[in-house]
Amino acid sequence: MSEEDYEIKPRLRAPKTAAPGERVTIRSLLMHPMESGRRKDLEGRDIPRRIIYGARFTANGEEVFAAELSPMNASPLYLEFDLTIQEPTTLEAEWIEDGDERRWTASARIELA
Amino acid sequence: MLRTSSPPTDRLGGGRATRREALGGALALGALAAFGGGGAQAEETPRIGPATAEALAARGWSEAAFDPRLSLTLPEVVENGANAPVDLAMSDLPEGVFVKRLGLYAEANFTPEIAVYRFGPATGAPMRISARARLAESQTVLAVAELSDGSLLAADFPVKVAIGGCAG
Repeated sequence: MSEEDYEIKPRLRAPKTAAPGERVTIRSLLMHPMESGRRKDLEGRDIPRRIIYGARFTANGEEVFAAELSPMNASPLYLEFDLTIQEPTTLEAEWIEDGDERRWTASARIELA
Repeated sequence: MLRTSSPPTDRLGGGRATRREALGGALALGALAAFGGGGAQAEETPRIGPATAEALAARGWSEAAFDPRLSLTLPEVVENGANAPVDLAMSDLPEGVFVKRLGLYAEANFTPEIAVYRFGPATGAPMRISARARLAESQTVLAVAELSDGSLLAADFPVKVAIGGCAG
């Protein structure tokens, strides 16, 4: 990873505990530029495209929410969804950049209350 | 689905129109068509724009019908089009039915399809998500939900954008 990538911090927020059947809100944020490829820098040079085109969230290994994303999503990349909790849950998030070479992950654990 | 591209027509000019007049006529007709045919047919303005309609067709979602159970909410005035909060929710679904996929569209953006979200039973019923979109200018944003029983529902929301923000 380059020095620049170090700044692309993934964040995944979930409550620490939930009652069985409770609906909880999951919040995710990736500090990614979401560069559309259609902008120019101050010297008039094209700024290359750099987009997270996919985000995927699993609960205990099973996909519960995913997004196909165009350059029309804001930077930083924010996604929030509600999830029904039935059992102790390990939540994992993955973001994939154009070219499939760079991905970022984050995880969170929800215990039963 | 209404198409806005208008075929060349000879209705406007006899055979004697100059090239410039003919072109002007065709352009004027095209502009009228873009607003739903103009004149007496103005009330037929399609609720879904042509670029969005094309993106929906590619997903097999052309038959989506507006339904109040799907809610799409943005601020009425988005101060910064580079980061517009979008809230989507759906409830009152039949037992066992959940939202399977959900598309978000902005007709006046360079790329009308903002995102397509996928859900499972634990997230799709009731469904509630929040995202942040880029909006080039004031326009009507559209959402289409595909349910696990195959039905297709739509919702839209007109929004004023103070400063456009598609990042080019």
